[in-house]
Amino acid sequence: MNRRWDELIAEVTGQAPAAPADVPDAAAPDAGGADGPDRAADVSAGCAPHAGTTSVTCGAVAAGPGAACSPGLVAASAAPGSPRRPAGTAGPGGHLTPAEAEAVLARLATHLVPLPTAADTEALIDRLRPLLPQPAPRRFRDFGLSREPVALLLRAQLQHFRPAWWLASLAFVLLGLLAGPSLAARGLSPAVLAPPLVIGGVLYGFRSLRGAALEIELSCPVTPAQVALGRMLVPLLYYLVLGAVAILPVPGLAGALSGAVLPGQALVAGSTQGAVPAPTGVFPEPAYAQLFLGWTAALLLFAGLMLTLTLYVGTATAAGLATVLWGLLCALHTVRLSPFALPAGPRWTPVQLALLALGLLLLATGLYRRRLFHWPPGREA
Amino acid sequence: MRLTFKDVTASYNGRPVLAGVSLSLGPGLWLFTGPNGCGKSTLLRCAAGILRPRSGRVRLLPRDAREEIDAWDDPTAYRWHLGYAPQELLDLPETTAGRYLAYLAALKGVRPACRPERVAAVMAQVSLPDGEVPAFSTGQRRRLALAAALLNDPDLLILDEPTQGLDPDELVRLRLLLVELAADRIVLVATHLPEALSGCADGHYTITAEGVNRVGDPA
Amino acid sequence: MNSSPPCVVLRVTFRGEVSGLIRDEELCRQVQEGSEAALEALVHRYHRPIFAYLYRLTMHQQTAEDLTQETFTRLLAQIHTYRFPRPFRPWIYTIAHNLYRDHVKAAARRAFPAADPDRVRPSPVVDLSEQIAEQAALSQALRALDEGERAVLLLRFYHGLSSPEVAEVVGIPPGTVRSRLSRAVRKLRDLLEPTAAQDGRSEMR
Repeated sequence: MNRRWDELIAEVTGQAPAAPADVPDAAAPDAGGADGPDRAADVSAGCAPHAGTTSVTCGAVAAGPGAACSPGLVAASAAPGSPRRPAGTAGPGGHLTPAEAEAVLARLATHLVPLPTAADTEALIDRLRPLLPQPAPRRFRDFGLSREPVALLLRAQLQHFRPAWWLASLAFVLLGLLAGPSLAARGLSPAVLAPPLVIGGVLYGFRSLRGAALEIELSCPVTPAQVALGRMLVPLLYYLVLGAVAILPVPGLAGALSGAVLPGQALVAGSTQGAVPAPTGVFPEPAYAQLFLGWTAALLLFAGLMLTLTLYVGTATAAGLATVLWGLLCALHTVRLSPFALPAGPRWTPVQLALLALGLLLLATGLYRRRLFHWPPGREA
Repeated sequence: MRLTFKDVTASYNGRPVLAGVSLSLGPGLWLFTGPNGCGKSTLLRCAAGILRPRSGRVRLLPRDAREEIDAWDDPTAYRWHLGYAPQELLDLPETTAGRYLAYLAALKGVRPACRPERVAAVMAQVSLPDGEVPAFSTGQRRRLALAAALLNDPDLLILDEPTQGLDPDELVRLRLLLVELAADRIVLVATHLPEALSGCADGHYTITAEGVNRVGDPA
Repeated sequence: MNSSPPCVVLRVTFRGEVSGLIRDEELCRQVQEGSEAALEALVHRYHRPIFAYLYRLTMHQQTAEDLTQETFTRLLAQIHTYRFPRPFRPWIYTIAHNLYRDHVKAAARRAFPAADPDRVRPSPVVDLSEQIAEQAALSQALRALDEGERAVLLLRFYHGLSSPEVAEVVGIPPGTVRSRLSRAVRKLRDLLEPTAAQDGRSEMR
């Protein structure tokens, strides 16, 4: 049974352990040793070679499960007449034989100690509990930060647009509605009003993106282009919706605004020079769709321009350049080359689509995560 | 945790300001002083990833990380570990401190569920009451910028002139806060008033036209 | 008087570990993080072994109790220095052993001996049960060993530490462990007078 004893015995004697005790007739000092190699297997197979004994739990049970000692040993003291001491005794002072070693170990194994009771252990635990280390508080960065790439954060950006702005933009579009017929008379589509709306919206949205506030945002894990695009999307989407509502015939709206001539209808009437066709349902007529396309193209083109220019030269300069461009495009109307003209001719739609695509391309640069441009930081004091 | 400048050369507004600056800073409070225009802010801006050096490298080894992050090879990762409060005073149109910090928390990657609590925590840490930012005093604006810098619990905290415009009480509070923060963070502070902070700083560098020198080292 | 292993409790508490007893090293790591349950488990495992070791070293119950408590206290004080997966068992035995050595040195300095070793029982003249006699004989034999020999024997035999572990705990070279162990067993053989004991037993029966 006891490999560990064998190990120990081998260690202290330099020899394999003694034969089982029922080999009492070896008288030579090294008898145990001579038999050793043959007997080693037997001894290791079983533990209690002492005949006539009953096994009793070992006194050295003090060791817990992690430190097994020699459990289940024979308590040899209970056994009458058991041949405890196999022959092969070398006697006091002499060389230690395996048999002797085993005998010593066997006796040692019965030694008892007054072990602590379960209550003692509980009491010890109670005394130790206050000494437990306090776990270090977790750092916020370990659990409170999301390592996902920062999205455009539309909802967060909303806080930059105060109610006044929402109303002002709406008012501008309503004014545009009223001005619609006179624009139509000049052959201009509502798209001509989109650029100033965008420029104004960007100027407003970016009004705090300067100085310390800009530097702080640039030190966040977003690219400058993402910062700019995020600020731009709110007005952009709002203007798209406003445009759709103003231009496209929505049945309910038509009823609500009865009496006022919707610019879409007026424009369509102007271009087709016929009677105003009644709104026929949710899907707009091709003419309405074209007008909305024109609006959207102008919107996206100038939004993209503002984004790109801002990243290079800053908001104010970008606004100035964009306004100049707008003026130029309007001026082109005198030679009938303006993109803001009413839908006419086969080339109108492809041109608008091209402008739309260009605008989307410019905006898409904001989605790249690499730092593309260097936004001029604030002045040094 | 270590911030390393390696041979950084930078110019600002066309003027060369830093030439071949090399520094290696571990956790602690590091002061930078020197005359105006000699590059304190430029150095801090380079560390904050706002100003790109002409040459050289700026790298951060965050806590518990095995590899350094380069400020320009991996800008997004670099800024996760960064908080910056600029020299210029925060000037915001109508908004409240709480709303603004919530917005920045989103930009810095604070989880949506944690945002309100985190905003409240940093405002408490800098003793800033909520209110309309346009009505804030200088000291309150400085504290707002500091609160913004702390939102993401950064390993690298960069403060440009945080002492400017503070009254003595606020100065004391700031000093205590900086000492506490510098215990396990790299804190860079540019200041005109080194006396206010030098007692608790782990190192003091002067930036002059000649270069960056550590105070206490032989010239 | 085996300590009932709290493994059932552990299996449930520790995130449904079903694979059996949790290693000491893992428990130690959890104690570092402040886990009360892990502390309880470790104390359950090692209270008796450490006590038994210290008792056999000092042969005095009160001293052994005090030193045992001190062992655990010191363990907790040093828990922050533990680096997983450093073996736990040699570490706690080292603490116990060092505390014992300090105790001996302090007693020597105080210039009066450490408390007299307990007797197993006050001895009546007759009718000693043979177990008590045997216990007394064993205790005396153990006491007769040198401190170094005794420690090595106890750790190797009663507590199952390997030779390298014993060397670490006692602070001696590994080769010395073996020679001390041999010496100890030889001395015990000489002391324990087996023939006489055997005769004694035959008489009793």
